[in-house]
Amino acid sequence: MVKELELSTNEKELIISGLKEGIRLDGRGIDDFRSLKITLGPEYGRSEVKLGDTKVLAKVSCEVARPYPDRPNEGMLTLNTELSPMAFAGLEPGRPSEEEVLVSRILEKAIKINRAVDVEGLCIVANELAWSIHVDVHFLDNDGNIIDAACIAAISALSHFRRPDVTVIGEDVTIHPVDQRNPVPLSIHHTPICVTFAFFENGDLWVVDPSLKEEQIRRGDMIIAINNHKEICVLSKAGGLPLEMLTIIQCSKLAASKVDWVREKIQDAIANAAEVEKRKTLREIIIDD
Amino acid sequence: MASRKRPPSKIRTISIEPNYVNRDGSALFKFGDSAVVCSVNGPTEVKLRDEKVDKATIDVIFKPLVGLPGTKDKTHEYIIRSTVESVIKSNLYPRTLIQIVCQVMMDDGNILATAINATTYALMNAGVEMKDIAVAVACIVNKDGNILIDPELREIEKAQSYHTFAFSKTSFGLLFCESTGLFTEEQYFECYAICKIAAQEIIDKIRMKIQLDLT
Repeated sequence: MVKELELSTNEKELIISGLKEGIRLDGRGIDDFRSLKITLGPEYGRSEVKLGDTKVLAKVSCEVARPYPDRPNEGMLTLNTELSPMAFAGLEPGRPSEEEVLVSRILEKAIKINRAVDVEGLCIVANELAWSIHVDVHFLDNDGNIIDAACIAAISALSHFRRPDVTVIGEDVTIHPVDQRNPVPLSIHHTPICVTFAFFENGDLWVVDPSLKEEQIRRGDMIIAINNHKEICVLSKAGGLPLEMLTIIQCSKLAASKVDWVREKIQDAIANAAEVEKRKTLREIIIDD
Repeated sequence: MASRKRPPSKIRTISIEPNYVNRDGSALFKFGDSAVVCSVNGPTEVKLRDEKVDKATIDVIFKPLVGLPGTKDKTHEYIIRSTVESVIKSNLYPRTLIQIVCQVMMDDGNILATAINATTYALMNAGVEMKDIAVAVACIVNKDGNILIDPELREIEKAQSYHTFAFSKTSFGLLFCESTGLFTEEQYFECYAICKIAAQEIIDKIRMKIQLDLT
């Protein structure tokens, strides 16, 4: 299958010489994210994230299942991050690529292993019934930094999601359909958000939120996930260029401020979606009358 | 439960967004709250084993909104492939691959029809030569025997029978049809006639959109 075109030597040199002066191809500074747009709704748990030209769609869904025998008091959370040739031309469908493994592993670490979602709260009857929450992340367009975009999409979709309400009386379990009783949000312990850095040359040059072209010529990368308590949840430095200690500290400080900015955006999106939902219900009431 | 707010023979608002993703061609097609984005890569290099010496290989990938692709999605892939194979001038692109990826964005019924329309627009957007274009519409016959076109999910749940039709533009012939449920011959032909009228409406909409984008 065709591989993505490699950058020409001239393009590489242009990017590097620009970085030396602190300028990037798209005009941002080295510590700037691209514009971030998060759209939630119309249904619960659907989030569309645009980070520059990178587009990711996340959809959260739920079903009732039997909990794992070794964890009878816990619900399940599964992340599905399958890449398609829509965002990755030349990808062979069916076989997981290196990139896919990396993305799913980081997301799994950031959200699942960090216990961002309260899985104990998903249990309905111990050993019998529990909610199984699925997060499907679809990559629509790739212009670099799909990990941050996917993480933002997954977290915002999880925060926006509502599951049907359940009542348990004795042994009787009633699951209330969404149109009969207001669905309930998931309880979320903390919200880890990833920030990706790319390093060039001998490690002195670095950028945050690399674009596709920058990713193609980077010599090392580092992903830091920080939650709302300003704790580092994931720090992934999977090979590549060796880094100075100081750079890592500097990067994590910057990441903390970026995460705050992203979280504000997510909160705005949630508030926006609530407003739209409210207006929609009002309109329906008026029409029905 | 709220009843249908539009007349039985009226399709939902169509919206089309070309160049939705950065590929050779792409489009987002929406029927109300049902949306499918389709991207086209090609003509591009083909794997030796799939190579056809006299025409292009057409590959379709259909990705559902929730979960991994299953039997239903594979069926959709097959349907979309055989529908577009009959309209693409594939002999113009021998030994190449035209790769079509459909991703469901929102599901409120008639995903297959939405996907076929999205694919048609994306193929045009990619500049793949076609001898005709395919448009698709779905309808249901409900328990009272009324025909509702472009039904929403909650309407489909209560349907007696469900029909999807795809028509070609120039000859206006039937390219594909799929029906499930219990129905009579008259009902079937009635559905066919109603969907044909709706298909014309979609063709007009697509034409308008292209005109708008060109000016």
